[in-house]
Amino acid sequence: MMLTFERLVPAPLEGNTAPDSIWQTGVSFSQGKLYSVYAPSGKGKSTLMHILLGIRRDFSGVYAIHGKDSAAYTPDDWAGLRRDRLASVYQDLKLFPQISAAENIAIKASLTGFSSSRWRAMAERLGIANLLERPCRTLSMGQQQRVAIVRALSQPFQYLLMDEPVSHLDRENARLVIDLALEEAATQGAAVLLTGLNVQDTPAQFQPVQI
Amino acid sequence: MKTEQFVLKVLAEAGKKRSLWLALAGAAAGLFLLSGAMQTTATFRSVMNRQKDLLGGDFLVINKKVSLLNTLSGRPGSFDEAEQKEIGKWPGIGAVGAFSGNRFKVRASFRAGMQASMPGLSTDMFLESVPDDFIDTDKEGWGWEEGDDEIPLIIPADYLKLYNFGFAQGQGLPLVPESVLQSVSFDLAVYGNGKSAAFRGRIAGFTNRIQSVLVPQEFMDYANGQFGDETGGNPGRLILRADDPSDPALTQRFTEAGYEMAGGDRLRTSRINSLLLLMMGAVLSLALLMIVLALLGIVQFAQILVYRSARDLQVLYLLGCTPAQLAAPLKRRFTVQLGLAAGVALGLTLALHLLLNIGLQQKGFETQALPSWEAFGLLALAVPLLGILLRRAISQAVKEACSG
Repeated sequence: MMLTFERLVPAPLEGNTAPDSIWQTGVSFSQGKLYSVYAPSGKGKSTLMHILLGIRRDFSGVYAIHGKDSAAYTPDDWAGLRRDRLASVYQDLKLFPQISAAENIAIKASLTGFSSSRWRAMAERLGIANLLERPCRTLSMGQQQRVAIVRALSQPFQYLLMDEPVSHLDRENARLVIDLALEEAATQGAAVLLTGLNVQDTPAQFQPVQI
Repeated sequence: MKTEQFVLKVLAEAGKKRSLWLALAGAAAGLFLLSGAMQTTATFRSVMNRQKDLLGGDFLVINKKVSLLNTLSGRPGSFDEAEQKEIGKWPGIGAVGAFSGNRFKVRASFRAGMQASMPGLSTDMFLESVPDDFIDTDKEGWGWEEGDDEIPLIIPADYLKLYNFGFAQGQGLPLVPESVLQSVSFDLAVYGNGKSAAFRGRIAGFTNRIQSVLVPQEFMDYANGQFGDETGGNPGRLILRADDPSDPALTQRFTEAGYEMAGGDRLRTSRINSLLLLMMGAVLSLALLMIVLALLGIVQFAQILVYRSARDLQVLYLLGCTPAQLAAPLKRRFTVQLGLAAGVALGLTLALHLLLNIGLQQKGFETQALPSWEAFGLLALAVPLLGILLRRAISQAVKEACSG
């Protein structure tokens, strides 16, 4: 599955895009590849993620998913894409604060048929296994970020879209998260798109995308 | 945790249940008013059309208004064949029958001592007949064949009332109940055309519809042939089979044509019917208003639940739930609650039917055992319609919540 932008300019950036940015040049993301998106703050990193996930539709130009214009996708189509093909970690995490971390993940796993032992093993690996029964609102931002990552990985996917997934993590935990994400993506033959990494912290295999 | 459980949990925390129960109570009350009004109307109409009468419930009698001309000519206005055919074509009229009168002399005699409670008396009288189709001939041994000694008669119930409450009381004579009079036979002498014959008369039943003394058509034909003169003319009165004798439109049409409906009860029933229809219309309008308000209340409650849970529903949508999946638990919950309201309305309507029946039976009316199908038909139409509207409103609200 390929994701393509053709002369796509988000409404907030209309008339305010650099000639060498993807908004001007167009871009295609291919399955199995790794992308690190760089941009100054407020230049559309989250907007890019939201457009890719079908949350924002206020843009000119075309966003094509495997050659089909995304404008033709219905809400049900988008729900199916997000459940089976596009895994995501949002900048604001989008966790349910009123229920436990385990329940947050289990809701997603029940939708995708993902086994509890697999996501519990991932939680163990990220060091949050002992926090799973606590309500999410009682966890620190770093802990919540890791819960959101385990939840994102608890599904089949062809693209893993992560918006600043390690912004609240120390270097060691950030490495654990990136390693796990890359392993899962490799297992599924998926692409990874992430934002928020410094150039020096980005693993060499990532292809830079400049906005 | 399953998505559906979570959706229900989120929604349960989003709204105060008291306002929902109020709206549901309003829906139940509105639905009950709707079916209850229908049931009440059906019960009263059935009672009015089911009076005990040897003449079935669907007949009425008409005559032309007596005018000064009739008085001078000595003959009341009669219906010729063309008029009879014309009336037969009116909407709501099934069949037209003519009254036949006696063209011979009749004398009835009660001999003193025939029955302990009856005084001896003798009187000239008249007889009429209508085609047997118009009389429930299975009842009370109606009918006559040549050679029969006994002649069954139907007399107006008012005659007995006149005797009991006028004559008997004034004269200090004993009252005669219907059952006693029906067990009494009396002598009926028929003569004319130079011939005479003696029969026994028996009261087969009473009617409130026809101010006449009816004998079987067979007897009338026989006796007119044997003892009558040859001067039979057009009938002065007609008996009609009507789909709904108390239909106000029919009454109106008779009045406009210058006909009178014999017996006040049909006219009275017709007026009561009009009044009942008017009241039912008012109650049904009120019921519809209540239902609409209740539906608005329930829909608004559902929308508030969805909007208050919008953030969680949107996240679930972003995790891969379809809007239909998210709306399903809410739709199910509201469908069950609407079903409960409909159940309450159904129960109340059944209770109303039973109470009406008990009350009317205590007052001596014959009632219908089964509740009215119109009442339940109306519920069967209204409830799914409400369900569809409610489910649509929920789908719409969830879609809007998902799209942010």
